[in-house]
Amino acid sequence: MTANNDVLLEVEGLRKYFPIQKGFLKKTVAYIKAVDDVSLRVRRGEVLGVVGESGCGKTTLGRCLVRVYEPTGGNIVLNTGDQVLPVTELSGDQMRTFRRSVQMIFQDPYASLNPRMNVLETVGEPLKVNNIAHGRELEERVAKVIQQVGLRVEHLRRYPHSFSGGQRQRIGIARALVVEPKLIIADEPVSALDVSIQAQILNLLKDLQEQQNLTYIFVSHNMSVIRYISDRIAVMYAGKLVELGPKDELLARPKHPYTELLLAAVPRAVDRRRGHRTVSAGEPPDLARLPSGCVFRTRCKYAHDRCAEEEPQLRELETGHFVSCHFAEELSLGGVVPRVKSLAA
Amino acid sequence: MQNTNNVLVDVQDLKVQFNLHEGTVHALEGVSFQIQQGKTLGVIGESGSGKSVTAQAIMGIIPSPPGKVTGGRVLLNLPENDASVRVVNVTELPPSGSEIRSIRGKEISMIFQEPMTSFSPVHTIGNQIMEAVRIHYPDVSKQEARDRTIEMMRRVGIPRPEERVDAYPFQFSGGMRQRAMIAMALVCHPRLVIADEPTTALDVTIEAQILELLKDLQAEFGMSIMYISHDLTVVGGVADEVMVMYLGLVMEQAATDELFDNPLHPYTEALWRSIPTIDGEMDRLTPIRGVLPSPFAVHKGCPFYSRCEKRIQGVCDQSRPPMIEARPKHWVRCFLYTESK
Repeated sequence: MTANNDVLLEVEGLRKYFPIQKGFLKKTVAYIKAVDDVSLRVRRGEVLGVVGESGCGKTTLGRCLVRVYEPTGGNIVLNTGDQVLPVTELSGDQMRTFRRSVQMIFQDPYASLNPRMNVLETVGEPLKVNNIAHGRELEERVAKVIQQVGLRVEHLRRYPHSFSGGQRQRIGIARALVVEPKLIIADEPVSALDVSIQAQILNLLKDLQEQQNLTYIFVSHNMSVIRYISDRIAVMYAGKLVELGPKDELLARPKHPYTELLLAAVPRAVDRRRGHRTVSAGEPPDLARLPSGCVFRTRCKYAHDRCAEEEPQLRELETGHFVSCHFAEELSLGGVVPRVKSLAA
Repeated sequence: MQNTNNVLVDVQDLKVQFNLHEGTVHALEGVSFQIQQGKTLGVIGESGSGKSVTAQAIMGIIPSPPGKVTGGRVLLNLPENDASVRVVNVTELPPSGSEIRSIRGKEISMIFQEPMTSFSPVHTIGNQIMEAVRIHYPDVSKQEARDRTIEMMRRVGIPRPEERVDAYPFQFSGGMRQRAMIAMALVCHPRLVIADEPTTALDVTIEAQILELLKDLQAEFGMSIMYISHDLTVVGGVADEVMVMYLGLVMEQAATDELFDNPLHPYTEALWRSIPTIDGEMDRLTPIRGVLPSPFAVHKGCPFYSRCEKRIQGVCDQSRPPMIEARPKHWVRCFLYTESK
């Protein structure tokens, strides 16, 4: 499977369980299955959007992929082009290559920068710790990447407090880019920013991706942002991957009832007058007490007896369009029809 | 501007500043608007636009010091039992005096963004909702207050309210806590509810439910809503009228459909082009250039001048543009429209 050179990252049966501990002896009484049996492939040069509500496991998935979290089970294989790395069992040498190949951009630009480190130190640190560059060369590389993200060389000696939120996020992006990674995992990189700044950062990420043929896994709760940036979209619910498909296909013809619900809930710009946000289907699930069978069935308006008895598996319904729902063939679900009328004209 | 008979809140040329160590922030620089009875006014603005300070001024809770109302009035037209109208100027009332306290929580109430931090963790949800009833209606018995609380919790869609009235905030999910906060805001049947980013911390599916709930409750109780958000699409879905704020000024104001169909101010237009939508065009986003100016900056001309695509040098940076009615009932603060008038 991994022989395919188009595939940059292959995830198979990934699981991350957090123990729930009780009492003085911290006995493990149950597990939170934050990511449960997720399999997907990320192609070289694509943007995979991961979307879902809070608690769906999208952040945990991202953190497992950069090895911030140790996965409970499953396999992750990264094919850098030169080397095939088994991410879940890296040797010391491989770990260094891995750290250079996969980088992360965080949500909160106020919390993710050390206030005592200036831009040169912050952005240069990955070069230093990975033993890639030092001294003059380090400074040159940092200066180059700083300009790529739209900051100026004069900014190098300044500290985070003198930058706005958008500029801080640019510093965070520069820090990720400086080691010339193959894969960038961006976890809600624009949700802490003001609306007028979001577009700047989204466009920057898009430009960098196209210019440098980067691969992104873009995690967000915001379906509109996901639509703008992604080539393919993965929808997660209660730790499971419930649908995965090409962007336009998935948005126009969703195959999983949860995707339909999620799309219906997004406020519409064009159709706001129709007031069709009729979403009355419950709350995100309690991860410690998941229902039997299909995890979504308690909120699903199409649920049958079978959904309680048998857990649906992710299967390829059409080429490249995966869904985990017993009744995916029979349901005709509503998606989003893009409108062409320009509002700002 | 409009029929004054139905006006509940009349804000006139409101000015607020904050005197900080680093300098003076002119948070509001002459804000005027009205809220009609039973209608929803949507307020759109980024951080620093003054949208939350406006809400605080109406509630009479501007933290002072450092905050200070330096000009203007906030008039509340409160109908009395005998069909007369009591006019109260909130800015003149002492912030912790008995008169404003009889209004706050009873006539005007507020729903905040963060339902986690807005409840006391050591009191039950029920007791916190009941408190408002007990304060504003001293003759109501404890049992009656509890019954009203349970009824309101049921009304906002909290399942099994007779049990959950004794639950603590940590036992509620985010969506349920926000419902509880709405119950707390509505239990005294206020005339105005100020909702300051009430759904920003929630998932989209929950957000849709909460917005629907607010609309239903408005139809039932007839209260006015001031809905504050940075999210244009959310505001477009709930508001009858929308005003767009930027750095302490109202830039544009009109009925929702009018404003969304014919945005006039360059800032409003630019905002529209810069947000990704789920059903709009998929062209490249056009970001608003530059950054938000420092809050301490003093703007001689239009505060949007430094970022505006359509600025006129020598005009826009020289004096503040006036608010003009560029189209019927559509006001905009921009020199582009002064010529034609």
